[in-house]
Amino acid sequence: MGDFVSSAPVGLKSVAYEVSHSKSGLAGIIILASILLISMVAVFSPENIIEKWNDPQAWLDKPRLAAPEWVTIFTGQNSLKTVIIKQEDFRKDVQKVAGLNTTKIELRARITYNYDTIPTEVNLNLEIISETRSLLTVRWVRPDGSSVLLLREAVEAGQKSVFTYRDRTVFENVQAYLQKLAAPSTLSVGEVLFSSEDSLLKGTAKLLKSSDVKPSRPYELVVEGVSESKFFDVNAQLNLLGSVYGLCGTDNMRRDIFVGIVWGAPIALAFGLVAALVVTLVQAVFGAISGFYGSRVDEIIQRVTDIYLVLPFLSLLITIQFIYKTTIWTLLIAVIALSLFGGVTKSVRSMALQIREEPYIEAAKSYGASRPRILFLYILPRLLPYTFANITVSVPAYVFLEASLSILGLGDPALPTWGKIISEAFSGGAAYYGYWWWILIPSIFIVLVSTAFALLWYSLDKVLNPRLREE
Amino acid sequence: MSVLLSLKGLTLYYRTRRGVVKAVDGVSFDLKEGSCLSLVGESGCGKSSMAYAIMRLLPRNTHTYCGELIFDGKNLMDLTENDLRRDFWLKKMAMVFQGAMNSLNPVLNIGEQLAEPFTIHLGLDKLEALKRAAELLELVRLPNSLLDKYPHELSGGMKQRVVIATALSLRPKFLILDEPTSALDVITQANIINLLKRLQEELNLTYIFITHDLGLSSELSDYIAVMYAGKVVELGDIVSILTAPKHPYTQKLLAATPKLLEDAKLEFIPGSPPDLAYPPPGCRFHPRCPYVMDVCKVREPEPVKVSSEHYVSCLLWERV
Repeated sequence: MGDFVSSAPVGLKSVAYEVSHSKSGLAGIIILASILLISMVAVFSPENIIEKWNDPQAWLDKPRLAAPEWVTIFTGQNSLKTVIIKQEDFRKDVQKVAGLNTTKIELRARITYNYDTIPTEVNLNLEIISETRSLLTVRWVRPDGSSVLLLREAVEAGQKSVFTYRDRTVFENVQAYLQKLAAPSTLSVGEVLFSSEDSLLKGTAKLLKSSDVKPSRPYELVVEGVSESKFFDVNAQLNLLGSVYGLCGTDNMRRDIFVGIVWGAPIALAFGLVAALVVTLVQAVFGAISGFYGSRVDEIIQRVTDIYLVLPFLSLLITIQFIYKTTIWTLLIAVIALSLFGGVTKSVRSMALQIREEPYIEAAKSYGASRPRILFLYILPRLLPYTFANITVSVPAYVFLEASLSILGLGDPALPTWGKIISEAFSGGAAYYGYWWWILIPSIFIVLVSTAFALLWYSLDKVLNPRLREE
Repeated sequence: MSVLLSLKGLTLYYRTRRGVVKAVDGVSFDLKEGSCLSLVGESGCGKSSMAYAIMRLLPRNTHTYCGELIFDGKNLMDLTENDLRRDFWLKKMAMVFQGAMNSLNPVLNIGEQLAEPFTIHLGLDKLEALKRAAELLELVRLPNSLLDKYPHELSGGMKQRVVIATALSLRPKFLILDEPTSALDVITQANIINLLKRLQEELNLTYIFITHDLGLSSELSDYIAVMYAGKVVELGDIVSILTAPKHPYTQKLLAATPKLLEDAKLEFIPGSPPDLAYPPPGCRFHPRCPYVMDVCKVREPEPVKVSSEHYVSCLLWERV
């Protein structure tokens, strides 16, 4: 007696086994598992990315509109990735000038620069602790020994950010330097900083690498502060921002698109899965009830479905979102509420009409199965393959729906979703300027989710549909 | 032997687009416990409708359903569908449907299928119900390994056995077999008939065996009821029906059965069964009857007792 029980099907376990042993199922599982893993990172991360995402100040140490780092493999260029010289990496010299009661602090950063491109931005963040004004001098020393004065001014204590490419004082100082060399004043600050003085004398800007001088020498940034304050201190951080960044590049607000992808993954999955599952199952159950019970129940469900089918779904959603500016989860409820009846109800009903006339339904009736039991154990399982197919088809459809609403500017106002990244790329002119990563990467993830579900369904169908089962 | 089932004027009409179809029209007979009655007749003469009428498994388009249906001393007509579901179906009476191939749920495996009655009626848990299912398979001589197979993996004979096992799950004493062997090859037919015989002896079952195969019915039955156009035209014990048929239709039916040792030419009955929506007046067989008389076209015959257990509804015999 004992051994037959173990040979009876163990349900989910055996289904999972068979799916994972088919090639398409495995591929689907791997893709989906990776996306799920990414989602887990987002869900369990202690960082409050969602708040950070919408805070422009939080992304200042990232380059604007940088391509992904791996494009350098294809361009062959050794493009600058972001280089950040933190305050502890500055060499600090403190000198007390005896008698004069002043303190002089010198900070020196060394940057070995062997990249093929100049940085897109050179930003210096200063922290000055002093009770009086202090004199600040910032100099840039090239490997060839020449130096450019960037800044010399009296500053108040506190935080100071110097965007060298955009700072007015720096610009004037650089112009003065160019005049001294009789070089054309059209050169940009970046070009001036990263060219050899020789080339500037000739009127051109030629990138100078550390390795161009023998022996190789780094660039140096020298910050000098002089103050009479007793507890005078200066700290600095230097950001050299490149033209490539991270795995997925950045957008026009310097935000790392990879972060958006990771935090958008659970949202896309949850929105797509919940909407597809609930909508399809509810519609299927209504369809089955309609077909199986027939008569008045059928009539009511079918007429309600007709009404639902003519409701302008997208327009209603847009109206709801336009007026209420709701979160994505309220939007999800609206989507479900607007799709309680629909195409699946109609097709499942027609299938149920056919199935309810089959002899095994009558047989079940004759051994006393109640109507709900027949509906759920005898009719609905027959509709499962179709329902599953529909769920897998609609998961991507709902991910797309979220993206479309975002493009129309009607997505969730706060959350980083894949659709929102694409929508921002659209409004940021990514297609026009060729910031392909901004559009392509979130799109690829949307496609990946669809592919994963399609592959998964393909193998699930082989297992769940007894007619396709092979022993 | 006591009477298990007694029908009096059992009637079942269907509502269709063409009109009211009189599928079962006032059938009366008694069935003794432990015996087997064969219902024979051409296709479309109401054999299966009889089965549904006796089971009270009525289709949606039922127009009229009346008469007396006394089973084990209770009139089933007085019971609600819930009573039937709770106390009768499968517990006291069960039915094996025509075309066993389609009587199994394709999405349940055999174990789950056989366990269904135990879960529904006895509320057993899954493991317990599966154990009982295995016992059922043993009863119909099938291996336990079938438990986790799906219906489409089984042969026709196996499916038929599974269907019979399901019907017997709660040990009813009365079974309606609606063409249990149609669409099976002769060897399998013989196996199934032998199985049914053995089960009848082991479990003291009473059968109503619906078939159009007179040969098969003679294997299993004690009585034969010949149906024509919704009525029983002749009813009797097997020996008298097969050796001395009284109704012209029975005679013709027997003449149309091939015989192994005689080289007689097979006869056929000219014409086809009448449209049950508009049956002919008088005796329903009269348009095809070779002995038709004028009175046959107006008067409906009443059953006439020919011998102790032999009744015939024919005006020829009323006269005699």
